[in-house]
Amino acid sequence: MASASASSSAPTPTLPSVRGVDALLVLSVALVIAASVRAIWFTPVDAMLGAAQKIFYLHVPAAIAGLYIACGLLAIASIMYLWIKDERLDRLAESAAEVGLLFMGIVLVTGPIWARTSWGTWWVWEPRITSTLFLWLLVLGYLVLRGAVESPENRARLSAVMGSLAALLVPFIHLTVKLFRGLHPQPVVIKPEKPSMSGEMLSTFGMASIAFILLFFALLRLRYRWATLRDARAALENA
Amino acid sequence: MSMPIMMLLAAAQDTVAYVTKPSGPPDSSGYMWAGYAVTALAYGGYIALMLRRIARSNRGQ
Repeated sequence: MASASASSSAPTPTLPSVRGVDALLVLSVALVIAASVRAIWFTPVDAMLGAAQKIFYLHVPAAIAGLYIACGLLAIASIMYLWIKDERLDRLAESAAEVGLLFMGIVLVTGPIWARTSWGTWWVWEPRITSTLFLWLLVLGYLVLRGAVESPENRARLSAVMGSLAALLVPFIHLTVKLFRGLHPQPVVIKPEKPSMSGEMLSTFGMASIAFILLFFALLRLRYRWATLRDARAALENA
Repeated sequence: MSMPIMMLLAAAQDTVAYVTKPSGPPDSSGYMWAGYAVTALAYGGYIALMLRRIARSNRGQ
């Protein structure tokens, strides 16, 4: 991973104090465990798909956090960086990309496990799955690019361009189930009609979504604070 | 004759997805546990990685 972000006019650097475990992380992990316990033991089994349908409570919240929130933050921070050149935006984009990669990875792994039982195959090259894999590879490329460019200014500028372009795939991925005929199901919760789930399933999904989004922000905060500490240490060594 | 053999082969390949039951959905709980285990490992591993990175940075390595 990269060693420092773009800044040449930093004041006298001081090392920030960073604690690994904080209240937000503990709370979010506890909520994720509680949501998982509720999903596994206290939510009805789907009549058609069986227990494997409960992967829905991991898969969809991870997709909301990884695709929409992480890639949205990556795009906004990247575009803002190109405009105002603030190193904090570069760090935010970098952190959103890495944590988003983790969440999208979970989407891409839990999806095939669920697909094996409902479609009878692990993988199908259909539009939504394939475009999500492409986005994951683009974000991975973004992080590899950051590690390959030595100059902090060049690294921040080039990765901001790549980050803002990569995130353009997200609206396309969202629309794939409408634009193309594929195996991936249509939305079951957020749609013009009533959600196609029972009240118990819907409340478990709501709880899991809040838990995973909170975990995303806890990990993002942790990653950002580490990047700040890393950059401050690099600035101190270069001073 | 060939159909039962195919069913047996399919069942040997995957005992969860293909074995039919008299009523209700197939028992796919193994897949559910696999999904939750992979997710727990991924998040646990990333949190451990972040704690290690922060500890190393705090120590000045």
